[in-house]
Amino acid sequence: MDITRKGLLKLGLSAVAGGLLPPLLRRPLLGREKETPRPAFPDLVAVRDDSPARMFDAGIRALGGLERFVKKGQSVLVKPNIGWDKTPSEGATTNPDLVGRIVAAAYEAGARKVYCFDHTCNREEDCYLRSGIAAAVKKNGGEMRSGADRKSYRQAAIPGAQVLKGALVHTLFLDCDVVINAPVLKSHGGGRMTAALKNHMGVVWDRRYWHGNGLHRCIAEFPLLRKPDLNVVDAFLVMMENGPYGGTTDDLDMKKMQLLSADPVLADTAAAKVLGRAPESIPYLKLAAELGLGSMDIDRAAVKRVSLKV
Amino acid sequence: MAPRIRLLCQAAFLCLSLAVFAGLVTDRHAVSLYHGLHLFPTMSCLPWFSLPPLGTFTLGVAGVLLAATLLFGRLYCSFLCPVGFLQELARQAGQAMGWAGRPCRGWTMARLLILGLCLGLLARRSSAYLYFDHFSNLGRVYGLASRPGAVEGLMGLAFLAIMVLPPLRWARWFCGALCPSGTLFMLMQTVAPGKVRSRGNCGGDCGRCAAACPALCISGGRIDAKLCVNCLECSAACSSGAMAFRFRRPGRTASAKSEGDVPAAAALSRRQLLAAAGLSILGWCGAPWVRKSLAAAGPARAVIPPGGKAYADFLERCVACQTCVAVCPSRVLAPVGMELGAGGLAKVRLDYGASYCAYECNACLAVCPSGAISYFPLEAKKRIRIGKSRLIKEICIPYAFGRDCGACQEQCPTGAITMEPYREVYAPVQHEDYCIGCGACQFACPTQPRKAIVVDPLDVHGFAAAPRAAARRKQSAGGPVGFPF
Repeated sequence: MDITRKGLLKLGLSAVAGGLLPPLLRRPLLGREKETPRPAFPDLVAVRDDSPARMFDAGIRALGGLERFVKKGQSVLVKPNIGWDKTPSEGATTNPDLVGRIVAAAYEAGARKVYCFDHTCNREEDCYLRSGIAAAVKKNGGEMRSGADRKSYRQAAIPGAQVLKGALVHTLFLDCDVVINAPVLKSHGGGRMTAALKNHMGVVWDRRYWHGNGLHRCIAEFPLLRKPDLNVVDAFLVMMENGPYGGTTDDLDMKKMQLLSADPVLADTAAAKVLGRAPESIPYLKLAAELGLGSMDIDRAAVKRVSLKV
Repeated sequence: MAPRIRLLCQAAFLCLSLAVFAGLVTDRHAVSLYHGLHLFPTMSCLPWFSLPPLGTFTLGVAGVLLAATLLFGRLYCSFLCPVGFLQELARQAGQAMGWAGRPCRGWTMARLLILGLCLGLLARRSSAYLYFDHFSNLGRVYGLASRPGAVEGLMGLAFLAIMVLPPLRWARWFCGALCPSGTLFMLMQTVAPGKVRSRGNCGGDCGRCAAACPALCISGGRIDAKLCVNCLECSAACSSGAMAFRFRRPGRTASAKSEGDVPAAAALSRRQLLAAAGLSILGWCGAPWVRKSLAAAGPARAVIPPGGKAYADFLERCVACQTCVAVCPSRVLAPVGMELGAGGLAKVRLDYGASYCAYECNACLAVCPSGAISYFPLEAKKRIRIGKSRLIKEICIPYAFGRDCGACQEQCPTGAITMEPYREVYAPVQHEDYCIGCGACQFACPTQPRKAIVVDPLDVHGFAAAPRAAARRKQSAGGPVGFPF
């Protein structure tokens, strides 16, 4: 074969074309990989030094707005911790202003209806009243529902669970389009810590089963049924010891913090550190991470820290 | 006019009694007002050298009632008593069924003996009069609504039958045959200067008074003073003015004959009064025996409400009226069946299988009529120790199976349980100084069928230590801390 100038030119051009084509085809893919270190939204937003309601406003803005989680016309469940017949100043229940603000924000984001309930430990009427949460929810147009009636629970199978293969779960948790988990951060005897994952014990009918059959395993497995769409951990007034009921106000630290994340494991990992515990020392966190429910790797997560101190 | 006012009073008081016994009224003054009108459970505090609930207020109400009865006759029986009202309604039903009514005659000896026995028991600090007294019986009837079918419900059913069945024919049968309060008021009415009296010259030929009388105690224009409840129905019905509420100075008893009434004093023979006095002595002597039979249980076998102070005393003072059961928001208070013997039937204990005693609650302490449960303000009640929890490690999940649990510690309101490292897990450790025996731990414990933590009853209640101070140093109030991540 003659090697002509024309032929060489053709070969060269086709080689260039052939070499360029695959990268050109792959370009969008490459582009996405390159952007990974700087995602549109952080994995976790940590806010500090303001009132719970204002910290929520700042935190959700940093997380991309509640519109990211609540679409127009959707039903929303806000699940705070209302487990005890205690006042907000005792740090045993989620701050009522925060719950009220979440309800209002959900409506602002276009929610059709916002519900709120907890399967309380003490008598429901007392807890709803004393915590101030029922009043805050109603004031902002939300609806308080009872968690004390077995009829509002439905048996649900939990896929992939080894121990908690099924549970009687509140229908609101199963049926609402969006679940916003709004726990309060506290120390906890059996669970070591109660925050996002542990808060699910208030949406099932039979919590004794969890205690009796491996508390940590059950806490870790429950989100296999449904992961909350958003977790807002109230770490404003934190019960550092003697939780979850608490002894005196000496057990409380005014941390003035709030943690927001779509990942309950990541939120709890940060919460554990606020509580002064090593995340690895909380068995259900490790189990949940192993089950693929979230990440404990807070150092490699995109954490946005917001300080509202003036 | 008078009959309408009476009907209104009776209906209102029936509603009040329902509200009190159903636990809807929790205001202490309203409850004490109701209690003060019932001498039998309320005054039983006095032989214990203690004041009834709200002390002077209750005594004042009782004093006014006694003075009014001594001056104007049995106004409580006719205008207020819900049991009397219900019996009148039953008689009306009997009338509607075409049964001719009869007065409740011939029970004079029995009712005097019952009054004597009850007074003797009361004076000797025994609540065994509860079988006769209309207040606690009415409470048990109302209690039926919430717990039908239980053994203790039989007492309520029995009284319901007494209240409804005989009066279908025998007007106000319970009042005339059994009621110790009614008998006491009847005796007081015999000396009352103001009461309904008849004029002897009227033969009652028109029959209006006899037809109007709810106790059916008028015949031939003469009132049977033993059965008359002073309700003024006859005077309202009377066209000639022969039947009327009249005052007479005490001592002028001779005129009673000229009035034509059957005077109670004449109808009560000396033999009957002596027998009644004799039976009150029997009550006096029998009280210790009743006490013994209750205490035969020996050590406490049931947890009794906070404010109950001592097991044996509580069982003796409780009149089983079920008011505290109705008012308990946690539904932990429950009537006793036959477990504590016949004497304990329908008295009250805490059932930790059903619930637990709420920490932020002292509802039952405010409503006890007999002083079986003494009142304590909430902050004091929170520290009253009514039992003691006992951990059974052999079946406790962390100790026996090496799994985390913590259900008991989670619920404990006083910090009497902490979770401490044990091998791989955290296990409950008790701090008994703080335990108040509320049963939250027992109720929450997930082990089946036996609970791994149970509350043992106490013979005598005590006080627990104030909540434990946190062992750690409180975070310095300095500047805000940064994120630890």
